[in-house]
Amino acid sequence: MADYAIYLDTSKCTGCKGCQVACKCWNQLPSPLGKNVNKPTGSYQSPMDLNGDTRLIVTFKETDTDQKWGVNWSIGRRSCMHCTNAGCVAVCSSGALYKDPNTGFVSVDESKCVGCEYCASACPFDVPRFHGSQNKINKCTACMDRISNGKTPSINEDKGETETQFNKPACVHTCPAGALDFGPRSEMIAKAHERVDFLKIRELNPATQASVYGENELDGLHVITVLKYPVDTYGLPANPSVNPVTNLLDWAKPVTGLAAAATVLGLGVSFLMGIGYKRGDLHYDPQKHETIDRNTGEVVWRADGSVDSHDKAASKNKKGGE
Amino acid sequence: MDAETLEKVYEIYASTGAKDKVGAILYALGQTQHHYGAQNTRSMCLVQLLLGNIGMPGGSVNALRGEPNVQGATDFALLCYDFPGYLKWPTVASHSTLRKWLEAETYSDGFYTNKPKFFISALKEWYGEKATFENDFGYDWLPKIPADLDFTHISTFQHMDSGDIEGYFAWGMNPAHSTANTKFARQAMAKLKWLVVADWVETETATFWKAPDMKPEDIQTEVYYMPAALIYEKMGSITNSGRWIQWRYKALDPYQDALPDYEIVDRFWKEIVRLYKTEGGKCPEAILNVKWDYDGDDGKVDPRNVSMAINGYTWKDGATWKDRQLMTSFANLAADGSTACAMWIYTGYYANNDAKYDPSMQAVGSRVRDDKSGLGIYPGWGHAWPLNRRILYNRAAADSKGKAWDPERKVVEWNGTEWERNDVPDFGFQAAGPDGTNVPTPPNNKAFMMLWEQNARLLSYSMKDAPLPEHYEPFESPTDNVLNKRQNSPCIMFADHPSVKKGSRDDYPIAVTTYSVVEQWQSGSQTRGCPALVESRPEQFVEMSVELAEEKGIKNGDIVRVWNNRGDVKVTAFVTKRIRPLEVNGQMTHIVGMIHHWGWAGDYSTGDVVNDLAPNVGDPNSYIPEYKAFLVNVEKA
Repeated sequence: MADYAIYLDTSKCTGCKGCQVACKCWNQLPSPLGKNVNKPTGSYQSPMDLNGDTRLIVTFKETDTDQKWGVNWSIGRRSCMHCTNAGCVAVCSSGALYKDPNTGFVSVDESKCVGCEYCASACPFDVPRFHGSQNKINKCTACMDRISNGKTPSINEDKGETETQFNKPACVHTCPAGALDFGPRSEMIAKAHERVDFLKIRELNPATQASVYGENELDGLHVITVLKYPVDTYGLPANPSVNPVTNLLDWAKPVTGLAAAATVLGLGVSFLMGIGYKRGDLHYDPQKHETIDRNTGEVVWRADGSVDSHDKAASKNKKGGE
Repeated sequence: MDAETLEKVYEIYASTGAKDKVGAILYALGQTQHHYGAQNTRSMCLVQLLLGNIGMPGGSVNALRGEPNVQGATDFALLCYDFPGYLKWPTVASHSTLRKWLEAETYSDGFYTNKPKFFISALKEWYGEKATFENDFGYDWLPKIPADLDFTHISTFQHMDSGDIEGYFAWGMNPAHSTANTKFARQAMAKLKWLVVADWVETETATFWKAPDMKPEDIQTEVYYMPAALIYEKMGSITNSGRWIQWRYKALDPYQDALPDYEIVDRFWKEIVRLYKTEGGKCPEAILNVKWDYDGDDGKVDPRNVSMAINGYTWKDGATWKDRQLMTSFANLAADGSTACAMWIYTGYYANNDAKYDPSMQAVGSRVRDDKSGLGIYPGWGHAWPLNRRILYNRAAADSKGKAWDPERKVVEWNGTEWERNDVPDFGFQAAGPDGTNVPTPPNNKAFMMLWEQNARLLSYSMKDAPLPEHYEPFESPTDNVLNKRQNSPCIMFADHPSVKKGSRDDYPIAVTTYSVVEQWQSGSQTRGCPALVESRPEQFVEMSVELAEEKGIKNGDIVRVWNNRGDVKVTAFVTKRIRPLEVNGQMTHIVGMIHHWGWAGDYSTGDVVNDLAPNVGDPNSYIPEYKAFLVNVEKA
């Protein structure tokens, strides 16, 4: 089986958050159950960032437009990008994080996770979140339980079409706008380029800055995104990279998770410094709607848009990106 | 929007007035929730008629209805002046006898010359064997709408307030959250002697006495709560914006004691009949002569029997549902009591006599995905009333000689001897000849057969306010009407009622409009009960421009107070460049937008009732309240 990918066309996304909710429902991730415990966000985005029970959020950012009226409203997706060169897999001490050999997605076997959070440090996109009470990492699995289990018969079976489709990830399955898709990675890349070409020739938007994200980043992501507006407006690093030190662990791949963990302990502090280990360096405060860099105490991101150096801070701390 | 851009929009849209182009207008409550909302809809019709966008695939004026089954509810006459199937409910003033109803409502030409067949067949379904030629098919037993009392939505609460209405059924509806000037509505409800609420959860209406501004100890209303099944917990049909009737099957049992609403109605009815029989009551004929034979073998009402009643069948005294002959077309209905049909427009949707209790074998349950026309017609998916016609007024897809305007969009075309057709024609395309067989009708100019003149109306005399749309300002507007001398429509409804408490521009200089977000649904009764949806949209907000926020010292995320003479709510401020001050008649005018899905009921997320702010004034044709434009003021809370 060839590499597969999730496709997102932000120019078709209506920001309905169906994917965000479907992710929670399928993966049985709880939402707060108290009365009025979800704090106001001051944004269409809610919650403001990923957390131990939230693997996918839809992001909203408004920037000025050169059109006469309106704004550029970048509506994007914040979740695992499923990198080919996956820093999280490289540093995972227990073998919980793995690259699915059939699809190329970076999935998680939570039963193996020891809660070391190295992956969170190694991720150039700041995606894995620690679920404190379970002592596990929580992140998108590409719905491996769906896509690796069976196929859905073609809906046109009654017309003699026998082609079957792989079960899609929950987010893709629910998308009412046709913004999300799922299929062989090469097809998704071709589809993305076709869409960007279309956006560029549209008479009404000659100055579009549409681009394809994920084709070559980190040797190729398994989330291929058509970005309608500039990459930074989606909170994505323009040139993500994995800290070279993380790949030192590649030699440990044949070793069992336990041995890998022992190796990491053996390597000790120098290794952790090497990958810029930053357990919980960035802390999101849901009361104030801001993210703080624990090392400096500095607010690096605020929901009202007044501070937005989140990605810079994250990549600086990780010594990846930029 | 600036004039240049607006001109460009007009130019692009007007370019669809070509043979090989079509433009569709899709609209929803933003057009209709004004005191001249029906005229807004008329404007869209006129534009589409003038551009030739009526009757064409991909054209028309398309109301976006949907999940709450607005189309189905309207078809079935949930508005108080309607009789099922877009017939008129009898009034004291115009329809005191069946003869008067028939004379007043039957057209002199066009398809509505058939109205007596539809109406008398409906009476036959209501009263069965008791409906005879001699007793006007039971017409006198139908209640008539009195001349001096109006029971539309807004006035219902005025009648409660004045004591004219003592009891109230709120059925799948949440007026203590949704009515314009909700606070007044809640106070009016507190004067009721009894209130029955049938709903899925305890809504604001079911708990109106718990509203933050209520004193439960002062309220004497007896409130009955009927737990009702949700749509997935019962079978039945739903009708979408395109008039497609589709069957939905029961997916799971109702929660605890909840019942499908048709079972609740059935239980009420049977108990009322029992009490009439044992204790007597007023107008017993009107109750005891009703046919009401919809029970299935289990002694409960069966929606499939109701579907057969709606569809229509040949009447035979003593027959049961199992041997009644369903009919495929309302053309077979008769005005002599030989046919029964609860609602003529649906005839044919449930007409398979060979599988009466298998909806999947009926047109309404059909799921054939073929579209041989390539025009998006899909004639085998569900059933579109009337007679599975997918595009209304489709005669207008061809010119006066019967040639399709666009060969790529050939819905109907006269080939010299007959009409070639990709859809069920919405015009007289054939007629019975002398020997009884159908003979094709050559092209003529009668494209709109539901009107007596059978032509489209640019000037309409059926609108209550005016033959042509005119511009008026909202009841509460930040500016003067510069297009004519009259500020509001002279036909505005309920503006003089003391509860309206019109606000002045000086006190309330900010225009507001209300709308919805996708994460929450209507009054939020269902969606605020879903934790994942609450998490994705946890609070109510008011969106405002950067300029207004600066003027008022408001920062994004602040809690702000929004108020006028009718209400006062606290919500979160979203400061955004998507909203900008408008220059209106030379004045900088602020506008804000609010969502409205919250109330005090529910376990996960509660908030103030934004509809408290909306004025309870209405349109003279539809009586719809003006939620979409009124005045408020804003300050940091």
